[in-house]
Amino acid sequence: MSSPDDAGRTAGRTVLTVADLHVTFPSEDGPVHAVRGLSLDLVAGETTAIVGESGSGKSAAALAIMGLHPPGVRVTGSVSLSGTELLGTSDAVMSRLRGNDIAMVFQDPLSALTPVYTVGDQIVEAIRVHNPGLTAAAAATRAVALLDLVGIPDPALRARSYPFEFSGGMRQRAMIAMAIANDPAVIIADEPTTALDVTVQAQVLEVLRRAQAETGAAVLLITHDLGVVAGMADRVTVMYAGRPVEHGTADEVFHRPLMPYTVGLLGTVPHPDAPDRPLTSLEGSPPSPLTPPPGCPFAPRCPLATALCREAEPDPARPFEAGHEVACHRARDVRTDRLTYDKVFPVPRISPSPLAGLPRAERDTVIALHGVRRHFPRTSGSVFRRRVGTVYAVDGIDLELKAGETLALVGESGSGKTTTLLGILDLAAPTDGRIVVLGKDVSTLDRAARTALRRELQVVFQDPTASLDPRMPVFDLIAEPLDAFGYEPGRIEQRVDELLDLVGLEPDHVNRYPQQLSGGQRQRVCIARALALEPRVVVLDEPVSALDVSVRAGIVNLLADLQGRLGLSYLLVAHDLAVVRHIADRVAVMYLGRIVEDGPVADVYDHPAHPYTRALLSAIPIPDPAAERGRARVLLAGDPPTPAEPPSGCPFRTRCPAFAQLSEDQRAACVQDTPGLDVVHGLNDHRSACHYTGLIPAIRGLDDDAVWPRPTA
Amino acid sequence: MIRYLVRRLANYAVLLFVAVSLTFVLASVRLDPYSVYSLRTPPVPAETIEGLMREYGLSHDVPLWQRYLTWLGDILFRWDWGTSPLGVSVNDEIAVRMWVSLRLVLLGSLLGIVVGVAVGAWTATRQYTVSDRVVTFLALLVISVPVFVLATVSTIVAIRINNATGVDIFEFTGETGSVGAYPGAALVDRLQHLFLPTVVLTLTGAASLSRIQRNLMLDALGSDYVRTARAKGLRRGRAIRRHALRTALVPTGTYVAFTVATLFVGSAYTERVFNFRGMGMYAVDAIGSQDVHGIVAVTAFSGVCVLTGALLSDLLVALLDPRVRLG
Repeated sequence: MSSPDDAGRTAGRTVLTVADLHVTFPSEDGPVHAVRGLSLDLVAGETTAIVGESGSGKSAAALAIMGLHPPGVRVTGSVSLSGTELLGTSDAVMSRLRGNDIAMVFQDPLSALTPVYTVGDQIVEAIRVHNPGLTAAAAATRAVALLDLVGIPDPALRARSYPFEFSGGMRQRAMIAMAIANDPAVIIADEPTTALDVTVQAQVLEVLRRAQAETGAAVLLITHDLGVVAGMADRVTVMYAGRPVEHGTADEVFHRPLMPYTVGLLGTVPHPDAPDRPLTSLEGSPPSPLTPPPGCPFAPRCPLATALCREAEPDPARPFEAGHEVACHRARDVRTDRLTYDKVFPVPRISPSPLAGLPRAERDTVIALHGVRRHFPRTSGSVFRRRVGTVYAVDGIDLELKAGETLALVGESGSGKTTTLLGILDLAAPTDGRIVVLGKDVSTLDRAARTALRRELQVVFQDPTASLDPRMPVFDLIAEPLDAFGYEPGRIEQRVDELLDLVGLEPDHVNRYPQQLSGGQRQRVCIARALALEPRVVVLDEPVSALDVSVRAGIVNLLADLQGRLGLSYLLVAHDLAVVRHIADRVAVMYLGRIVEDGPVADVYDHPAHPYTRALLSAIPIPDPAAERGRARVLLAGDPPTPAEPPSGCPFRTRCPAFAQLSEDQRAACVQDTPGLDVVHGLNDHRSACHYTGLIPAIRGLDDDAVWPRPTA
Repeated sequence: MIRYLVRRLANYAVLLFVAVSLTFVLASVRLDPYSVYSLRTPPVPAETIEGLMREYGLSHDVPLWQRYLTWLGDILFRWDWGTSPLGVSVNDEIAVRMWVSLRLVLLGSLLGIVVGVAVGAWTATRQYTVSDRVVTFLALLVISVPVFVLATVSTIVAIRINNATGVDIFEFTGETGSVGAYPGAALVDRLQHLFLPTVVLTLTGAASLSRIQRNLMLDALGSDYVRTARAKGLRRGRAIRRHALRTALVPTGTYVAFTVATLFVGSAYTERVFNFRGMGMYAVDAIGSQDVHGIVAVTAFSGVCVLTGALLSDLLVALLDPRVRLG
C-alpha cells in the first residue's frame, strides 16, 4: 500500500499546511462565521491538538481540511498537502486524497459505521476504492491484518461482524483501522474518545499512538479534553469563537499559558497534585457566531479585559516568543506579571459545612444499602417473550451515605452505578437486600410515606437540556415541585426567587425558556428545581459531563458551596474521576454490579488497593504533559464482561493484570471464591475486595508509579 | 427460524378466524339478502324467496349460530365459501377477480415503489433546490387529489388524445376490448387496457412513497456513516448509493410489503373508474347487493393479504437489516 509521497514522509517534515482558513455557514439569520483565520502546520510523526469548547469551530475546521462541507458553505484561505492546494479542487480530486493521504476518525463510532455492512467489508471498501487493482481476497486479508494491528481479538472472525456486534471501543479501533488502511500522511481524529469510558479511552489512545508510529503520519487531534491533549499532543492550538487564540508546544501552552482563556481553562480542570484547590469558574458563554462583538470574543468573560479588548479584536494567534503564538492584547502582562488562574479569575467562595468538625461515625446515616441486588430478566423473541437469563445489574452491594458528605460511585459503563441510583430513587424494594433512606426501609413504605420521603430525596440528571421541558419557562420549571407539594402561590413566588439567587441565576431569568439559556445555566435551573423542596439528599447522576469544560467548574463549585450552606448529602455518579476526587469525600468503585473498593477519597486515590482501581486511576488523563509523559499505565485488556454472564469467582479476574501473573495455585481462589470487601492497611474504612490485596503493589505493572504520578518538581 | 415461522403462522390463523367469524356475525345481522328479491317484477313469492335463502344458508329463520356452523363446515370440509343471494358462487367470483387485481396491483405498485424510491432519494440529495420543490409540489398534488378524480381526469385526457389522433391509443374500459387480427394482438390489447390504471396506481403510490423515502434519505444523508464513507474516499454518488440509500431502504421495505398487500382490496376506485372487475370492486358490490357470504370472503381475503404483508415486511426487514437478523 505505498503512496507516491512515501519517500518525502520523514519525521519533522511539514505535510499539511493550513493558512488563514475561514469557514462560513449560511443560515436563516445570516452567515455564521464558524472558523476565522486558522493557520496550522501538521508535521509528519507529530500530533497537533486543537482544543476548544463546542462551537469553537474545531470540527468545522477539520471538515474543511477534508473538503467535506456541503456546497453552500464558504471555505476560504488555503489548505495544502505537500505543496498541493486542496481548497477549490473538485470532488473527484479530493476523493482520491481522502482516505488515501488524509484520513479521518470521527467522534461517535456507533453512528460512524454503516449499520448494514460488516466491519470487514467497510475496511475492504476503504482499501479497494484507492487500490482498484487489488483483488477482494487480498483486500480482505489486509483488512484482517489491520484489525489485528489495532488490537481486535480474533480478527478474522470479527471482520465478519456487524458494527452493532462491536462495543464502543472496538468500533473506534475499527475506525482507526479504516483510517490507516492506505497509510495516510495525515490522520484527523475528531473527539476520538469522547463517548468512551476512561479505561477504553486509554486503550484507544494507545491504538492511535501505535497507528501513528506505524504510518509516520501527522495527527490532528481535535478534543475538548485537556488531559487527552497533555498525553497525546506535541503542539496545541486553542480555539475560541472560531479563532485560534493560542498556539505552541504542549509544554509551553500547559505550563506557561499566555491567553487568559487558556489560563482559565487550565484552572477549570481538577489537578491530581492539588485536589483541594478550588476550580476556576469561567462564567458566561462564548458570543453568538452570528453577531460577534467588535472586540476580542473572550473580552466579556475575561477579568483582564480593557477598553482596547472590547473595541479591537486581536489578530489571529501570532508569534509572541519562540514556539508560542497568541491572540491577546494582554499577553505581555500575563507573562511579566506571571498571572496564573488563581490570580486572573476570582477564587470561588465555598461555604464550609456546619458538620465539618463532626467525626463521620457520629453523623446520621441518610442512605444505607445492605446487600442490595437488582436483577433483571433477560428476554428473547419479539412476539412471544420468554426469559432466557438474568442480568445481574447490581449484585450485592453495601453503601452508607452520612449526613453532609458526598459519596461517589465510579466504574465503567455497565458496572451498575446508574441502576443503583435509580434503585434508590425508586423507593421500591430491590430484588434482594434492604434500602434504608433516612432511617426508613423503603420496602415497608406505603404510598403517603413514599411521597413524603420523595421530598427529602431529589435528583439532578446528566443532560440539563433533556431534563427540562422545553415548553416551560424557568419559573414554572422550578415551581413545579412546590406546586406538587401544595405550596401557596405567594410562597412559591418567594421561594423561586430565593432558589434563583441560591444557584446564581438572575431574577429576570424566570421568564426565559430552557433554549434561551446556556448549558451551565440550564444545569443551574435543574439544581434549583432539585433544591426547591429543601431535600436532605441530592442524587447527582453525571451532573457535569454534558457541559462544556469551561462551565463544568462553575457547577462543581456551586454544588460544593450548596453542600456547605444547606448541609446536603450527595450521592454522585460520575465517570470523570478527576472531578470525583475533587468533590467527593468517599468513593465506591463498582465493577459488574459489585463494589470492589471503597473508602475515603484520598486514601483510595493515593493508595488504591484493588487492581481494578489502579487501572481505572491510571487511565485518567492528567492535564500536565510532563506528568503524562513520565507515566506508566495499567492498560486493561478488552471490555468488561456482560452482567448477564458474570465470570465465576472474582468478577474482575478475566481482565485482571495481577491474575495473569499469579501462579496456578494462587489463581484457584480467584476462580472459585468471590472476594468480599476487606479492610486495607489496617484502616477500618478503606476496604478492597481482592484475594491478594497485599501482593498488588509489588506486582509488575501495578506498582505505585503506574497509578497517579507524584507531583513533578 | 422455522419454529418461529410456524408459531407466527399459527398466531395469524387464530387472528384470521376471529376476524372472519366476527364479520360473518356482523354481516348476517346487518345485511338483508331478502331485499334483493323484493323489487322484482313480477314479485317473487315469499315462499320461493325463503326457499332460496334456506338453500343458500341465508335464511333469517334459521338461528344465526346454525347458519354460522353450516357456513364454517362448508369452508372447512369442502372449501366452499357459499353463494350470493342470487346464487352465484363466491369461489368462482373470487377465482376470477383475484387475478384481475393481481395483474393490476402488482404492476402498478411495483412501478410505484421503484419510481417512489428513486424520486424520493433523488429529491433528498437535491434538498431545497428548484427540482426538489417542483417534485414536492407535484407529489403533494397527487396525494391530495382523490384517486377517482385522478383516474377520471386520466380517461378524459386519454379520450382527447384518442380523438385528436383518430387512433384508439388508450383503452380504459375493462380488461379487454376489440382484439385486432395481428399476431400478439391479444397481449397488446391487454397491455393497452392495463396502461392507464397502472399509471394512476403508480402515480398515487409513488407520490406518497417518495415523501417517505425523501425523509428517510435525508436522515441517512446527514448521518455520520455517510460522512465516514466520504472520508474513506468514496465519491458523493457512490457514498449515497452504497451507504445512504442502502440504509434508508430498510424502513421502506416494511412499509412497502404492507401497502402492496393492502392494495389488493384498496384500489376499489381505480377498478371502478376503469371497470376492472377486481377484488376492490367486489367488496363494494358485495355490500351493495346484500351479499353476506361475499363480504365475509372479501374480509378473509384482505385479512390474508394484510397478514401476508406483515410477514413479508418482517422477513424483508430481517433480510435488509443485520441488526434484526442477528440481534
